Parts: sequence; C-alpha cells; structure tokens
Amino acid sequence: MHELSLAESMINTALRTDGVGADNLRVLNIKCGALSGVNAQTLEFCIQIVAERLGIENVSVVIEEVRPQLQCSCGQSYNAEDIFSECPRCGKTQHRITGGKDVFLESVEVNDGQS
Amino acid sequence: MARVNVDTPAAGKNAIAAEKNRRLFRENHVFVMNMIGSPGCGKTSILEYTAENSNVRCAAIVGDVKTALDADRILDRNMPAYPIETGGGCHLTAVQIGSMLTRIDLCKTDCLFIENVGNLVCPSVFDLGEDIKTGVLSVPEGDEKVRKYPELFSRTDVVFINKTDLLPHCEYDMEKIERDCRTARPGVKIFKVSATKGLGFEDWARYLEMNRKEQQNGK
Ligand SMILES: Nc1nc2c(ncn2[C@@H]2O[C@H](COP(=O)(O)OP(=O)(O)OP(=O)(O)O)[C@@H](O)[C@H]2O)c(=O)[nH]1
Ligand SMILES: [Mg+2]
Ligand SMILES: [Zn+2]
Repeated sequence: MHELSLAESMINTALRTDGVGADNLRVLNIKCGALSGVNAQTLEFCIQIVAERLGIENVSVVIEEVRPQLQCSCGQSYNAEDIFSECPRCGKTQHRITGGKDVFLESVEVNDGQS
Repeated sequence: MARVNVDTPAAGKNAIAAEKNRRLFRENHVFVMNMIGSPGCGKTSILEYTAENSNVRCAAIVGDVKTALDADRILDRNMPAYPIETGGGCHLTAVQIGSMLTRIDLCKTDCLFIENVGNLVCPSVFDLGEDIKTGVLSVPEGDEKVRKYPELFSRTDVVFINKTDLLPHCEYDMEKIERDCRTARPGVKIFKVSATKGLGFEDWARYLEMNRKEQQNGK
C-alpha cells in the first residue's frame, strides 16, 4: 500500500513549507491523477492516520481527481474519461498523455488566527 | 485561514530509493527492464529463451510471493538470477531491488531484467529505477487487457504478446490489442512471440543487441 508512504511524504512536504506547522495545518489540497494508480479514498485515510500520529488535529483532506490529459496529433488538447476515447476534433485516437499520472500536493491552508 | 501554494509531487520512500537505483544503473551503464504481467503469462519463459539464445550479458532479479523456483529456472540456463521472495507482497519495491544490487556485478552486466510479481496493478506504479517498463501479455488471457489496465499500459515502452502458438485455439484480435497498446503508449515496441516454441524473437534479439551496444559504448 504505497498510499501510506505518499501520505507521509505529503505531510512532511507540508510541514517543511514556510509558515506551516503541526499546530496550524488545517487543510491539504491534493490533485490525484486518474492514471496514478493511487486510490483517493485510501490516500485520505492514510493522511488522517499520519496526521494523528504526529499530533495534528482537525486536518481536512481535499482531493481533486484529475482526468487524463491528452494531446492529439491534430493539435487538440483535451481531458478524457479514459485514454481510449476519440479526439473530439478529428475522431482519431493518436494522442500523447500529457497529464493524469501524478499525485501532488497543490496547496495547504493554515489557521492564521483570523477566520 | 491562509492558503499556501506548495505544488510538490508526492515522492514516497519508494520514489527516493528508485532514484538511487537509477543513478547506480546509469553509472554502470546497465539497461534495466521491469517486466510486468499476469501470473503465468510467460515472464520467466521469455527470460529462459533469452538466456539460451542471446549473447548480451544479462542478469535477472526475480520476484515471487513465495519460492525461488523461477530464479532457478533462469540460473539453469546460465543467466545470473537473484530471487526476491516478497512473502505476500504483490509487487517489488525499489528498496528490495536496492538491497539486491550489492550482490550483482553491474560492471559485467549490459541488461538487467527485473521479473516483477505476477500482477497487472500494483507493480505498474512502483518505480524500481528501471529504464523501461515492459508489459507481458499472453494470448489465452484475452484481448481486453490493455483497456482494463491503463495505468500499466500507459507506461510500457515494450510489450510482449506471448503464447502466439495458441492463437488457433483462442478468440484473439491481435490488431485490436496492438492498436490499444499504441493508443495507451505511442511508440511502444511490440514483440509477438511464443516463448516455449521459440517463435518471433528476431526483433527482440535486435532490440537487445541495440541496447547492448548503447550501454557498451558508455562502459
Ligand atoms: N503454449 C505456450 N505456453 C507457454 C508459453 N510461454 C509460457 N508458457 C507456459 O505458461 C506457463 C507459465 O509460464 P511462466 O514462464 O512460468 O510464466 P510467468 O509469467 O513467469 O509466471 P509467474 O512468475 O508465476 O507469474 C508455463 O506452463 C509455460 O510453459 C508459450 O509461448 N506458449
Ligand atoms: Mg515467473
Ligand atoms: Zn485530434
């Protein structure tokens, strides 16, 4: 289950960011590619476990699932449900996959004492 | 609440170990293929054939949940082979590969095959530090595999379609599976073979030889 080690990596990344600490970290905003092989629910579960272990309370995890991004040989760039779908412009399936394979921590939200 | 941009890819322990392996492979000019396919698709049989028929200096790391049987089969054909028993693990990890590398004479190896545990899911997302992922399919598994496992086949630069000797006994649309492979990964090299009958390996032999030359130029 690599979600656990990804969860550790993301929390570590968050805590290494300027102005972010175990006491003020509240939200992790994550982008999870449909082709990443990472299960979003499992990832969230693992982040909660890691956070708890580090004494970080009340953290929420927001995961946006990113569809595959395809670049067709005709020049059209589009998001598709699956990588075998046809290009909306030319109808072919000759594309490069330009996105949807990665998982990354996009941003975090911290409690800065104001609401 | 204040929002802080981070924009950092998640790189767990495995990714860090994989980068370390990759550096070692590059320094020693070893071409590394991570072979991924269902249980019984013929990964070991392809390596057996290669051990018997290629002059390229190869070695293999062989992952299985239990036993060193497959590594022994390859060793019997005079290719150095190192078993990793995962003890239940459904894929190899970069850390396991890293700890095996101290035992392999990388200077005298042009091509290292890593036979992953038979599984089309988990191995596809665990980078081992390899140059390329190689998918291994076989005819009796059916011709929908590429569609069912896009995570894997969007990452494979080489695909074997094995057990072609069974084509007369199976309904199998070869053109369709080849098309799917190319849609999932443009530029993929496809080798249609029968490992046990030794058929269709001409292009594979040329491919290995080409990579051997490239590695040896660097040594
Ligand atoms: N007919 C036929 N049988 C084959 C071919 N290649 C392999 N087999 C048979 O398929 C079975 C499994 O082959 P292996 O090479 O052990 O497969 P594997 O992918 O290494 O299996 P695991 O390591 O257990 O996942 C054996 O009985 C082989 O003899 C082939 O080209 N044609
Ligand atoms: Mg095997
Ligand atoms: Zn198009």
